[in-house]
Amino acid sequence: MTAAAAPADDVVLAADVGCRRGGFRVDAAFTIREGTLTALVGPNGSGKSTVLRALAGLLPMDRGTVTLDRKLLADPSSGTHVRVEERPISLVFQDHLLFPRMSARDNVAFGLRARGMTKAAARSRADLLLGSMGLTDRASARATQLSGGEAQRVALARARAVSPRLLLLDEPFAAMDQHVRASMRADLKAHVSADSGATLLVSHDPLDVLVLADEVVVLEEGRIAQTGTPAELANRPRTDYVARLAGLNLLRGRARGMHADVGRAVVALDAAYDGEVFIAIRPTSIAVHRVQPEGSPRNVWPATVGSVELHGDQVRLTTLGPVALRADVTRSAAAELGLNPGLPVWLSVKATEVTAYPA
Amino acid sequence: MSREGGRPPLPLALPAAVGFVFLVLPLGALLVRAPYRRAGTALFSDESLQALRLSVVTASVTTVLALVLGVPLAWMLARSDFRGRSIVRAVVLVPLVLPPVVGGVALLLALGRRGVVGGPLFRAFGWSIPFTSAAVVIAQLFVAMPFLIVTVEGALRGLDGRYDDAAATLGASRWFTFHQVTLPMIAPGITAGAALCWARALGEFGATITFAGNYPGTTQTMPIKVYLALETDPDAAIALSLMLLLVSVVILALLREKWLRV
Repeated sequence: MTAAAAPADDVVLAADVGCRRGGFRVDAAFTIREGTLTALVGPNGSGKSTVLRALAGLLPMDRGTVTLDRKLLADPSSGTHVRVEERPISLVFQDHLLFPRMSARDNVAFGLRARGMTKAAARSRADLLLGSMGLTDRASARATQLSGGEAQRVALARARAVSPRLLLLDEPFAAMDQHVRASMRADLKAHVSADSGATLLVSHDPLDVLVLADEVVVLEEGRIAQTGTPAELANRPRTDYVARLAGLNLLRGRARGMHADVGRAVVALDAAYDGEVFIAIRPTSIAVHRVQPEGSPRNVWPATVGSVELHGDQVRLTTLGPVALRADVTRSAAAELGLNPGLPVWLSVKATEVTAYPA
Repeated sequence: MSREGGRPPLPLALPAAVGFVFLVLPLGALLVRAPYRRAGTALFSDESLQALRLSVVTASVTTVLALVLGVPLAWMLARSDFRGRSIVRAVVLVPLVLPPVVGGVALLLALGRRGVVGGPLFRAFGWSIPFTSAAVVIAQLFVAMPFLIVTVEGALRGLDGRYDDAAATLGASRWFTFHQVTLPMIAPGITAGAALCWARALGEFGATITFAGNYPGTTQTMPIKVYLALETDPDAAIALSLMLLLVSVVILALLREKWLRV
């Protein structure tokens, strides 16, 4: 956890956001370092947008502090609340919210003009920025004439134009087609790493997290569930949500030596552990059999097929039984096994394919 | 709309037809009886022109004042959160339902020579407001501004408040956001509100005759002229009425374009 650690020199944002929204509480502490893109992920309703709005100053906090470049922006205990327009923080909304009566150029120039730049100077800066994002030929178009992808790019240019120290992105790709999303993702990576400051991206998409993020903060039910690099999360998830993001099965149990008790079954481990452990199993590491397999140090569990669906070039099963797992088998294996919901099967996993780590 | 075909039931169709005829009959009579040959001379008599000019000028001044005062008031009601906002809104709406004559009496009590504000003004500066062209504007403003406020407030409420958030995160003050973002976006609503306000001001009678009186050239507006002409020169009254009807139809067409279709 980076939270509450001694603020290193390159920390841009140190936040401890505490606020209430309806009957829902958010309490989340984390830091963001210079030049990094941090992904803030979590299930729907976990409070991601609330955190973003609180950081921007759009939502009052009732507890905690927000410090940007060592300057205190918000601290309810001392009554500090720097106003939204005075924070060097920009926010890109999911539905871009371009000003519909303005051209793309004037949307991008808006923030500069608001800060006192002349119309002509702001417009030429805007043209430069739009050009660097490949939007020169759309600069004069009304915001309402832009496609969804173009509009979101213009919104990104508009937010970057004011050189924010912290750029907040609230699910910026959510409303886009898959192929537009891929090119936006590449653009974002390129532009954000060129800018000074740091970026906080709220997203639902596991790919955003794995491809774009330097750091990940996982929010669940208003609390931070896990933080770390994408690789750490992908290899060692600590909640079911993160496990699903990483595409892993996650079990929790009590280890004694080479085995762990996970409730209704015992799992043979890759190494000796003692105490509470998480156990991660890749869906492709699970073999599925019609008859109980013979063999040495393997995990073998009886199960019933729950659901069967295509998953990439594999077939994904969910299984019910002593251990509920997701297993991926090849299409030909699925056909040979005649997998149907309700079919009793045996699952096996080599102990070496099981990753255990302290809970 | 599930069924558009078929004959509408009589208990609905009959009252509907009577209601329509009732609304259209007087307008039809106006058109039928209009002295088209004499319309020119009746309309362009000096007195009629004087009343017409006064009406157009005062209604326009009223509309400008209503924009200057009413748009900010609408913004306060829609966008800012202050104590007693609901009371302010209720008070703003009162003139919409108040009989205009009562408005005129109330204005006399406030701004008349012995009024709450008018008394001290008269004693200090010798200013007397009633029975002047300024009084005409004040009477019209009192009656017509709420139309503009209600329309503009509606337009503001229909606007996604997150545009303000977006502008603020880009460093814009609320004032900058208001005139650069909000105002252009509610322009159709403001146009509609101004048109309604102008039409209402042009037709104002009760508050005007009570507070401003009936002096040709200074306070005798078109509606008052129509009312008086009916006794002395019915043809002129009809011709003037026809002109006001025409103005109403034009306003209605403008509103349909700008507002009702949205």
